[in-house]
Amino acid sequence: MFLKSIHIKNYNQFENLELDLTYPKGHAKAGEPLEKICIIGDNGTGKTTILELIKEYYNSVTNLKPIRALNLDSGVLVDANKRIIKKEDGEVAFYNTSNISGHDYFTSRGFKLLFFPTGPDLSKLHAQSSPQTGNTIRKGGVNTQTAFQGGISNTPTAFSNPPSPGVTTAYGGGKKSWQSKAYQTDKFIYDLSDGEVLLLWRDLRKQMNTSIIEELKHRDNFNTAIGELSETKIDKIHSDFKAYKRENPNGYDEFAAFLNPLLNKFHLELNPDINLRKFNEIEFIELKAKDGAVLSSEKWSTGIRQLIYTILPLYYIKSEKGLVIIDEAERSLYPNTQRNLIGIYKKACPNMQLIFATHSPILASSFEPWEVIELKFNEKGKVERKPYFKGENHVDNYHIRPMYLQWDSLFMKMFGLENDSNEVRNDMLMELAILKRDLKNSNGKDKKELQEKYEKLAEQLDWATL
Amino acid sequence: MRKIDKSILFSTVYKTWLEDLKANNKLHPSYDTYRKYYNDVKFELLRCQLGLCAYTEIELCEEDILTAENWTNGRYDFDKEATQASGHIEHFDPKLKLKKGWLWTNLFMVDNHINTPVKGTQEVDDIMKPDADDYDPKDRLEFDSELNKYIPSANKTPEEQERIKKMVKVLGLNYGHISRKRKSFIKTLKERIETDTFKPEAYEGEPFPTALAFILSEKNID
Repeated sequence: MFLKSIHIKNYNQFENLELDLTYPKGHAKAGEPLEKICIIGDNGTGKTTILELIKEYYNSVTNLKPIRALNLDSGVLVDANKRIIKKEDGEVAFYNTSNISGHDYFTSRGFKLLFFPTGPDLSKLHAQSSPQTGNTIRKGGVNTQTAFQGGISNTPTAFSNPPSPGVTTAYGGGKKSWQSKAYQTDKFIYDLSDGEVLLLWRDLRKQMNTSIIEELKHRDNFNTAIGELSETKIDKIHSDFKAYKRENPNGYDEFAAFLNPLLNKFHLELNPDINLRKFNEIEFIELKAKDGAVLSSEKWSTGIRQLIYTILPLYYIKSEKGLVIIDEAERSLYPNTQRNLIGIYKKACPNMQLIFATHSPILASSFEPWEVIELKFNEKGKVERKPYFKGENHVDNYHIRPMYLQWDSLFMKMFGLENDSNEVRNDMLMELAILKRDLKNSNGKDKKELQEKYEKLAEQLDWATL
Repeated sequence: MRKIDKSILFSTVYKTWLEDLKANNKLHPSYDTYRKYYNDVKFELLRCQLGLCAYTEIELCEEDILTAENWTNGRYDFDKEATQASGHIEHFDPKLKLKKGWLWTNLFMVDNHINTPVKGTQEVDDIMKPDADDYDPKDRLEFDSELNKYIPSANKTPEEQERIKKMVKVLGLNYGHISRKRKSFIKTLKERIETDTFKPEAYEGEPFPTALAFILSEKNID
């Protein structure tokens, strides 16, 4: 159910834009939908418009009743506003024969769409601005009940199941893996605008708490057992408990194992010193700095907020299939973090089709050329896709390979930059060439002085040659 | 930037019109609104320049739209293929644009990204005018093929070198995207020379003939 193609006709700056979103010939996955897509292009070429149209398309499809309003005879799907047309693929044709609605179809297959719009108010990640729970988030959709109704107060606490007295050897090390409880509502589209991430956290927290309650039972048993045992047997119980923890990490442990490798790069970690018995009272993720300071979300940098804002929903949805749409994916992130970002996202949700829009050449360099959609204005002022291959759409015919390029080449070949540096550098390279010439021609006493000047300038220019 | 022979061979109607203006001391019609001979000028210039930008020598069009068959009765036959030609008609001396907008000796076909953004209306110096009688790239310039930059010839006086250096910048000979394209060209050329696969005929009508000539001379290849 991934997107295989998009056809936008006579809409805003698009006259007749056809985007093939499948692997080209010669690829092991030829004809299959792309797993990740990167949309680039100048301001105003419609990157965000395409992302929103995709969301609208799925929104309208999921709201449609079977067959009605779908023109399947012509092999294309037209949404209610006739703004976006998606070519039929095997699965969309399902509507023609099924009695269930589009919405039910998607949700019954665990298909989700995560939409990260550009410019949400990330300050709303922390609890002070927390939205009301129990909202219907999907706009204009079926009145869907969310998982957040009831909230935390209905969740049994860790103390509601006191440990049975007399249990001494509950820690045999048997595997009782914590199962991530699937999101039970029929919610299909997650529009990650203001506040939504906080709602997801609450549900994730609820899920994690189930395993924490389980662990607390064992902890209580452990405490009880220690009280009854001689000192020599305490060590055995202690190592049994450790073994139990290793094999039965709670949901928070798993989340930390996922998030910490990323956070460690910023000298941070998920706060390990939380009170498990009050887990359900943690308003939002807390981080711990290397110096020991505990940082609640209002103290995070914008970059960290941006990362958590995207990573948390992906983690939440990790086992699902579907689409993740992220606009301005590089926002607030330092170049070195951008380099690894796509890998991080892909790892977080390996079964989802990822669609990004970006202005970052570093991000674009994580993609194969057939995964990049570069939008350009043509002479008529309409937007087209710039082809990266000549002749047949075959892997061998691509003349641009983002992963092969240096950053400056990426800027120039894919981001329309006309110059590979500030123009002053060009002027100084000319000066360097003159110095080099004079140095070669000089036999006099100025040779040493020329050499010093030449080498100093060459160093400043990073010893540029071809 | 090589020397350009600007003899008009095919756009003869434009040539006669221009001669008439001169002989009768008439004013040129406005360059911006009078478009009658635009294509005649554009394609005759491109023909003189062998399809390359007059200054930077990057390719503006294929040469097959510049042969005699494309002209009929002294006018350029504009067809669809000709829209493929990129570049702008450029007024070498911007001060002449207003009153002598169609003056043949002041016009060149130039890369769009050099014409307005780089050269603009900067003052020019005939020491670097590609159709000037005494212009010869080897007399005015040297080329550092490692740094990929044109510099003034050491044989010129310091004052002349300054004038040439200024014009190299004005005409965009070392400008970013030009250097970039020339970089691949030089790299390939040097690799071919090194691997003994260089064939002079493969470079006929290709971009960067001046850089080619400098590098061949540097490598002592005829």
